[in-house]
Amino acid sequence: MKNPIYLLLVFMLFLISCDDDGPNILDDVADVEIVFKAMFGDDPYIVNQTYDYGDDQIKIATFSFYVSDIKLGSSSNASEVEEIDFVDFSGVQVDQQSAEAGIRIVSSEAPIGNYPAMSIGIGVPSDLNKTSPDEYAPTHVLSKTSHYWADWQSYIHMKIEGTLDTDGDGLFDDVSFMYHVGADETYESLEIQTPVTIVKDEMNSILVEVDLEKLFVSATRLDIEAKPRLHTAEDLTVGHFLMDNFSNAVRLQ
Amino acid sequence: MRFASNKYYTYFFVLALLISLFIGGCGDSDVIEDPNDLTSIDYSPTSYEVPQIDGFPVMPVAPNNPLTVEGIFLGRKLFYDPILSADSTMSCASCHLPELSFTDNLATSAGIDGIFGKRSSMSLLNVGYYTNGFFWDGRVGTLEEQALLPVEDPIELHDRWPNVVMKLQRHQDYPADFRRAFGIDNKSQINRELAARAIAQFETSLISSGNSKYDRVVRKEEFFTEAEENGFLMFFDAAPGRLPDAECGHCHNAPLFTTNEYANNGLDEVLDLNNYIDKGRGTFTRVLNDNGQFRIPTLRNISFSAPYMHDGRFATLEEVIDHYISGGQYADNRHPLIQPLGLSEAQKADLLAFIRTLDDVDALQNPAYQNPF
Ligand code: HEC
Ligand code: HEC
Repeated sequence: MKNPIYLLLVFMLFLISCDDDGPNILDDVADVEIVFKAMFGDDPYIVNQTYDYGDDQIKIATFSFYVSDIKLGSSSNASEVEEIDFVDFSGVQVDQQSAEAGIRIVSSEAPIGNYPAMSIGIGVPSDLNKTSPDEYAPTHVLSKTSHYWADWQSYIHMKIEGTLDTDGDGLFDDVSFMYHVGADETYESLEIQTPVTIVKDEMNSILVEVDLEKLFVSATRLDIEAKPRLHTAEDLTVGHFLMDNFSNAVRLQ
Repeated sequence: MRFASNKYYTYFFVLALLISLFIGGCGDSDVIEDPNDLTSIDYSPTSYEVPQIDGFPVMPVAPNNPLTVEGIFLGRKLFYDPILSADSTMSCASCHLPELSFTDNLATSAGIDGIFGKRSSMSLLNVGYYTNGFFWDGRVGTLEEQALLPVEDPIELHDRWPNVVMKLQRHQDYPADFRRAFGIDNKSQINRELAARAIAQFETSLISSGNSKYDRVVRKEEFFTEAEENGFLMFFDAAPGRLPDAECGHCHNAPLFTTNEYANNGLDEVLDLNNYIDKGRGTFTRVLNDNGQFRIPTLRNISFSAPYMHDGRFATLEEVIDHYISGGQYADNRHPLIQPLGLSEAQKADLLAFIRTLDDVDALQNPAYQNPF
């Protein structure tokens, strides 16, 4: 086997085959995925399913929000996993099985190691909120005109829409509510103090649960009937209430 | 094997092999002239870029179907040519007339056999921008896939693709058009996929002119009348407190005047979600809560595309607005935004005045969109 042509062949095979496992500096990173799951209390949230709401019954038709600046680690020494993404449970958590599964959002890489915390922004951070959907390709999450309100010059950080049955007749025709929260000052940035470990050679799955009930109920329960809408960028009381409650509603599993 | 062990012979052998492969791969060294050969026709496609209209999204382009002037030209011919139907009486344009914003004036459309479907034709204006499924139920993902369907649909063109392809291959002009658009070498390479791609290219080119009154007002070239301004403010809930919220903008949002999401806008009272006559989105997703949801249609040029809704139940825009003002019919999954609006008669007229600012006659009359025959 002294023939140079064979040597060449072997060499070429070598070149092709060692394309992705040659020594490289990314050796200490691993795959990370983040799964978001909406809950209502202890149960997985299902679109338009009936839940108790104080003395009333509630159905939530729409629940969606942007997530941004997802980082592992404490703020001083953090590793960014995702800049901006969009979580929409509306067409997804539609029955028990799909609700148990949640939504896989981020699929990225992160350095292996132990992280004391994870941070997530809920909404579109102010630098990106200066942009508008026509600046993005249609596949980009910020191209959604359904989540941009030109009049406010803001993306809609989060949407919750639903109905109440307040007279107990089983029909949800008593109150319709719609909370479309936008504007820079309601952007919510969370630091979740739950340790996360990223291990080598594994798909590291981080499950983020968001409890919708806790968005409505903190020290007080939101009186939906009294304030079913969020109309103006000037009156963001309900918006602040809901967004602030994310810090109680989000937990890592 | 002495022969192979000598490296010079090996090189020679490999070289000979390569040369013979090269020659063999060139195929057309036959001397007999093939009547189906198209290679004498020039293939030098000119790429086409959809004009970027102020405030509009970026037009998505299918990676396997870049737009060319020649592709759009072919697609336009196919779109208007009854050759696509079994009895040569109907084309795509029979149900998608340019002067009606690419719809017909029927509640539900009928195909070549006179059988009426259960749904109303849809506007094709700006259809290239949509990325969330096509048809009222979103059952098809791309325009290329969509364009394959009407030909064989028994209540539309009711032909068979192999038959249509044969007609195209034997036609005196189409083979050259296919060559110019897609560079095929031989008539036999004309197939349904190429035809569908050409039609999709033509459809992608059907866009707003950017000259509707609404667009000119946005660009500050013109002003709304007071009625239009009021209508605008209610449509987008931009004067809360002073004027009622008509809710429209949440679903029919600018610039395309649709978010392309799916919703139940309260057309029918249905107490059991299994009981929709047309399950809409649910037919495709099989999700109970999706029953009775339909894709939100664009309101650009809506004045020209009566009658309205997926089954064409409303003859006029006045009826449509009355429907929304009433809050619609109850169903468990009626969208929360569909609720009594409390608009006065005058406010109703204002809303309508605003919607008419979306009229875009320049788009309807664009010479590039008309029947080329
Ligand atoms: C017999 C009437 C008829 C003919 C002929 C017809 N269409 Fe349609 N078209 C319709 C109807 C009705 C719908 C809505 C159907 C549905 O939702 O199920 C539709 C929907 C569409 C849509 C979806 C638009 C959107 O926004 O989702 C496209 C694109 C389209 N047609 C293109 C074509 C093309 C291309 C042809 C010719 C190959 C054609 N049509 C022939 C009646 C017709
Ligand atoms: C909850 C979302 C939603 C809201 C709010 C809404 N629409 Fe619609 N609209 C739809 C859907 C979905 C359809 C298609 C329904 C169908 O055909 O089954 C539709 C259809 C229409 C049509 C018929 C279009 C066609 O091509 O046939 C018109 C016109 C219309 N809407 C105008 C309005 C106006 C005006 C308002 C405000 C008063 C409004 N809509 C509010 C979702 C909405």
